[in-house]
Amino acid sequence: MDELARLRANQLLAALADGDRAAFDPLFQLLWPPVSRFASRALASASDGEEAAQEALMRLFERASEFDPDRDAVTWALTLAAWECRTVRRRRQRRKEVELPGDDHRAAAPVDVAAAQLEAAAVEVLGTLSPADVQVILASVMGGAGGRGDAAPATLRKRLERALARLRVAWRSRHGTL
Amino acid sequence: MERSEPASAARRCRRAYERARLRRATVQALPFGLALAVAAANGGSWRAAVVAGLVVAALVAGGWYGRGIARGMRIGAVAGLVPLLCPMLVSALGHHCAGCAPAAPMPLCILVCTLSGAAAVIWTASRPGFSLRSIELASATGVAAGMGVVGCVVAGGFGLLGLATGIVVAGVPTAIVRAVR
Repeated sequence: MDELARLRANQLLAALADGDRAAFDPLFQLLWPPVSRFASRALASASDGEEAAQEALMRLFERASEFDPDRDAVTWALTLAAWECRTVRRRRQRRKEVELPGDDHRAAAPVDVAAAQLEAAAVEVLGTLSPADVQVILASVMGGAGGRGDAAPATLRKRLERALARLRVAWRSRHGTL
Repeated sequence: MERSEPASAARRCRRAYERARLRRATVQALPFGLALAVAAANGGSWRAAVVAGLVVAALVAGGWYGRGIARGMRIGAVAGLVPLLCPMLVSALGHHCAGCAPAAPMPLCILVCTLSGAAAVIWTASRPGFSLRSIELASATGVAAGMGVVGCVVAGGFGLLGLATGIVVAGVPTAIVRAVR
């Protein structure tokens, strides 16, 4: 998503926070593709991904009135999606759902499956961090303005370093290596 | 399937958005509703209770709708606390507002209603961004006046007349000053 689309998403969400219903449809059309793509890749399943994306966007629209225009709408949506992906994965674990070979990943190459599993593991670890940390990391990865606010570049770098340090600790505690 | 999924997701998101706005508006109207209920009970008039109910309903509906109406109503609700609570405070100090009339030696309640109405209008009209013909100013004045009615009904018809006088006497010069600027 380019910077123009991000700015447009911010403007639309700010308008929706003020009660402008005309902003709803264009905002949904702008957010749905990246959020559902992110969730589908993170969960390695299109149907679970769409479910998580739907839940994430529902949370976002529920809290639209609290939107701070200084923050980035897309990063917020992806942060919520990361949390929802974590919830879906936990639900899966609780139900002891084991993905058997032969489902919709039958045709997937081993490299794709490994990448999807790695991404899913990363999302799960991200889900253990605070929303502020997730926002800083996602903004840095995607090159957006999320989590930037009015902070100076040096402050941002420090924040990112601290968030990444916590991510490393969380990853090590779950997977043992890094 | 590809098209219907986002469509149903959009519908669910829209419902969630509207529900959340309504919930938020209700919560924001609660403290004002409580103050209005206390003032209506103090007034002891069913008319005051009806007006209080209408003001609360307007606050919830305006907060849910949003935009200029919600912004105006928020300001109006805060401004309306002055004419809503001042007559009650005067009553609490031992003054019997029911005896207030122009013939009384000191019609304190009428004076309080006039001054508090004027203060509410001046404060509302001085908010930045509230232009004379804006929906913000209209909704703010409407809510403040409604709350003032609930508060000043305790002083009877003369109390309401005092409130109206305060709003007009303060509102007209304020409007002229803003128009000249």
